[in-house]
Formats: sequence, structure tokens, C-alpha cells
Amino acid sequence: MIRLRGISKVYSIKDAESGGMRDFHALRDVSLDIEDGSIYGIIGRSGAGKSTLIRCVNMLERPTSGQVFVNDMEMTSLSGAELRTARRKIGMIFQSFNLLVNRTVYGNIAFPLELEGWGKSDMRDRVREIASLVEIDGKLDQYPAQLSGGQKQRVGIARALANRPDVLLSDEATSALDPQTTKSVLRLIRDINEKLGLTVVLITHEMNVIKEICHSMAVLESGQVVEEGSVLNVFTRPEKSATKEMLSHVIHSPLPESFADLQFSKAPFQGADLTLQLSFFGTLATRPIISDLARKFNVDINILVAHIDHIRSTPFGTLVIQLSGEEKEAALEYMLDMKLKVEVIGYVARSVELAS
Amino acid sequence: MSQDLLNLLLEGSRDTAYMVAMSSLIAFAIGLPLGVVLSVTSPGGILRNKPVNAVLSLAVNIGRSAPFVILMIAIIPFTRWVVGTSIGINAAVVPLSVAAIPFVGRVVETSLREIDQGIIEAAESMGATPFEIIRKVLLPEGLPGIIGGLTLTVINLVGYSAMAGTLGAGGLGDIAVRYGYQRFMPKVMLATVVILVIMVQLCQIAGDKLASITRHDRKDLSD
Repeated sequence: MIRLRGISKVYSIKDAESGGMRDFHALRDVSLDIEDGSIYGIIGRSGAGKSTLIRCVNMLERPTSGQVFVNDMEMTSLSGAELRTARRKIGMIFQSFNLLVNRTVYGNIAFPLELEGWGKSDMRDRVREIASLVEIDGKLDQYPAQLSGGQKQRVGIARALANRPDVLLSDEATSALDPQTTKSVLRLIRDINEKLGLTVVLITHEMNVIKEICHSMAVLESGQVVEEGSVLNVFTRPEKSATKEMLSHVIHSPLPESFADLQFSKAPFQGADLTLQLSFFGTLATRPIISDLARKFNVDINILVAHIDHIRSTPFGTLVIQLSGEEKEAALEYMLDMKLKVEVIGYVARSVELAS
Repeated sequence: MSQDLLNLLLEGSRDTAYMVAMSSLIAFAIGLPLGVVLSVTSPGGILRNKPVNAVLSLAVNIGRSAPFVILMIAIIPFTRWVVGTSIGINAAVVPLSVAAIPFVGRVVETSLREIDQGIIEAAESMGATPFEIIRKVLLPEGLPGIIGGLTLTVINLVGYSAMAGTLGAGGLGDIAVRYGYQRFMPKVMLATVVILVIMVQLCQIAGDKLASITRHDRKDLSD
């Protein structure tokens, strides 16, 4: 269990206008609970403070105030040798990999073991074992410069896992990789999480990363946690505009272009179609809702946008439909009863729509 | 050219090589730790320490700004105190070392500064002590740069040693002045120059080779 309690970080920075020093609040009163064995994602735009936040977990940055607990060990109270011992149980991977360029893959993975004073033969066995786990065992004699980005990050992961940490911190680990490689590295992190049961804390600016592997998430904005919870909950019921905006790229399909200029009315009127956006997840996503509606009510259904996606392995769908016919309000009631997440976009005149 | 002159040149080359080798060793031995301390105590270093850094930096700058000829004369009392005399090749090693130490210090500091901060942060995240970071990260990662800088130091010392030669140290510089210049023997002058050029060239080739062996940050160089 990782617990952050009221973490704040204040930097003294030079003010561009006055030339004097002023305080910059990188983090403001951040409190988070991260379950053992979970993959926890912290998302935010650049400058939101996520990099500072993840560095506060292993004290690469010392919070100005607040407490950090990792497995009931208060990190904020440690220093010197105690802190270094605690850090050995917290692996970390980085956006720019940060491998030693003058050491081979073997030497890089062995590095943390050398620090712990492992014997030569134990070290060799452990390096081989962890290298095969991350599928880099064929490259042990090569230098980082000879590897691709994805391979470098695999070495980074192997190095971080070498002395069996309880926690893996990932600082934008896939941000320098192409989409294909990102997927394979994320899959590796997920496998490791499942196989070894270690807790993963990752920061990212990409919702896709969260969607792919995280159980829980927090949205960071201007140094504050503005939204937090299970990924499914945050994705399906985002409350803050920052969250919605970041989600818009992965989840909410925008209306077709021809709809952008239309005037939607909130009140029904004669000859109008009702436009709705439905979001559903889990078992609901697999139910035949549209044919259900068509059979039960006297309505015509026109599907404008349809999109089914997965959050980890849970199906998640977005649908924009237009209902016409006498029973469209009754159909809306029915959907609300089914606990579908329905957002009424509005009524629009059929003729207007056709004209456009 | 007579056998005597050949012997003279041979002896001079040996003296020059001795002065350069001894002063290089001393300068590396003191300059390397100096450079490491300058680097780790700098702002952003792993053991940042403003007073230490400021004092050392000032000392290095003073040492580097004094022209070698002046430095050599100015520290004669110190040289006498160390080796008992101010004349001869052993005496020349003292000012040569003193001149090269600050240079080596800066060269090492610069090489270490070029190491990616992220690599140092990664080592810190793995629980490395500052000493382990110096020994296992900074020095190995900065090695190619350090070797390049040390090559430069040795070459500079070849030049300085010739200068020292004219002030009673012996070696090729001494021969060039006494025979080539004062006795009007241009052939001897030419010979000393050629030998010095060859020495410098050899140092450069050896240094480059050593640096490339230790450098692994480029794709095209396998091993």
C-alpha cells in the first residue's frame, strides 16, 4: 500500500517580471491511496506536477510538506542509508530510459545487484532470469546504443525489477515510443504486474496508456488531484472538465461534422428528432439495446456514431443515435431505467437536418 | 650528424619523455579527484556545496590564468622545497605538474558534466551512495571524454616541457636552444622539432584509440 498524505511541493523560482524570487506550487495537498498489486495511473498535462509527484514516492524529490508511506514505511522520515535501502525495493523506469551507455545490457541489469553486493554467480543467474522475463536475453552483450527504443525500455524494466522490488514507478515510460512499441511495453508491464504481483504507479499524459493497463487513476491539474477512482468510473462518469477534455480523444466520439452547426433544442417540438448519446460498459455493452428499443417501442432509430472500446478487458461503448416516432420519450425513459448513461444532445428538426 | 649529436638528441628525447610522463601522472593523480569534486559540488551535482566549489573553482582559475613561464619562475621556492633544487628534469616536473593539475581538473569536470542527469537520477533511485555514483556511473560514463582531455593534457605538457628546457630543465627544448639557436645548428633545431611533432602525434593517436575503445554511445562502433 502506498499512501500519500497532504503532499505539497513548493519551489522558489525567479519571477520573470519583477526579477525577484517567488513561490511556485508544483503540488498542493495531494492525498492518494494506492492498493497493493494494482496498476495506478496518474494523468495530467505537462506542468500539472505528475513528474514531481511520482518522484516524491521514492524521495528523488522531497515534498515541502506531507507524508509518503510505502508499505507502512514513512519515506518522508528517511534519509541517508535508510532511504537508500528503502529505494532498493522501489524500481523506477524513465521516459528516456536512462541506461548507462558504457555498460552492456548485462551490466545495466546487474547494476542494482552490484549495489546490493550480490555474488557473481547469483548475479549472473538473476540477470539471465529477469532478462528472459522481459524477452531481452538475446542482447545481453550489446550496448544500449545498439538497441531500439522498445528494447531499451525492456532493459530499463529488467534493471528496475532485478532486486525484486515491491513497487515499480513508471515516469512516462512509453512516451518516447511509437504506438506499436508502446502497446508491447504496456503489455509487458501488465504481465509483470499480474505475474509478480507488484504495485505499479505510472504517470502519463496519454489516456490510452491509462485505458490499456490501469485499474485506478487520478487526474492531476495544477498540482491538485481533481478526480480519482477506478478507471471505469472515471471514464464513464467524468466530472471535471480537465478529465473530459483528456478523455475526448479516446472515448467520446464527436458528432459527425454535418451536425456541428445544427441548433439543438432542449424542448421537444413538432416534427423533431431526439438526438442522444449513450455510454455503456461491462455486460450492458454486449446487450442488443438498439433492436430491443425497436421491438418494444414505435420508434425509428438512426445510428450516427458507434464506437466500442475496451478499458483493460471491459467493453465500453459510445453511441450517438437519433430517435423519431411517437414513442421516443417512452424509449428514453426505458433507457434511463436500464441505468444506461444517456446524455440528451437535443431535438432537431428533421427537415433542417436533411437540408444541411 | 655526428654520433655525439645523435646521442644528445636521444638523451634529450628521453628527458622530455620522462618529464612529460612524470608530470602527467602527478597531474592525473591530483587533477582527477579535483575534477570529480568540482563536478559533484557544482549546483545540481550529487554533493552540491557552494563554498567548496567556489574556493576550488577560484584556485583552478588562478592556476590556469598564470602563463607557464611565469608560473615556473614564481614557484621556484616551492620546487626547491620539494626536490631540493630548481634545475634539472626532476625540478621541471614540479611546475609542469602544477600547471597541468587545474587543466586536468577542468577537463574532468567538463566530461562529467556532459553525462545525462537522468542516468545519475536512475542510480539514485536504485539506492546508490554518492561514492558509488562517482565510481560506477560518473567515471565509467565520462571515461571517453576524460581520456580525450588527458590526451590534450599530455600534448600540452610536451610543449611546456620544451619551454621548461630553456630554463635549465634539460630535454629537447634545452637542446634546441643551446645547439640549434645559440650554436647556429639548424639541423639540430629541425631534429628537435621533428621529434616533438612525432611525440605529439603518437600521444594523439594513442589517446584517440583509447577513447574509442571505451566509447559505446554510438551505434556504428560495435564494441
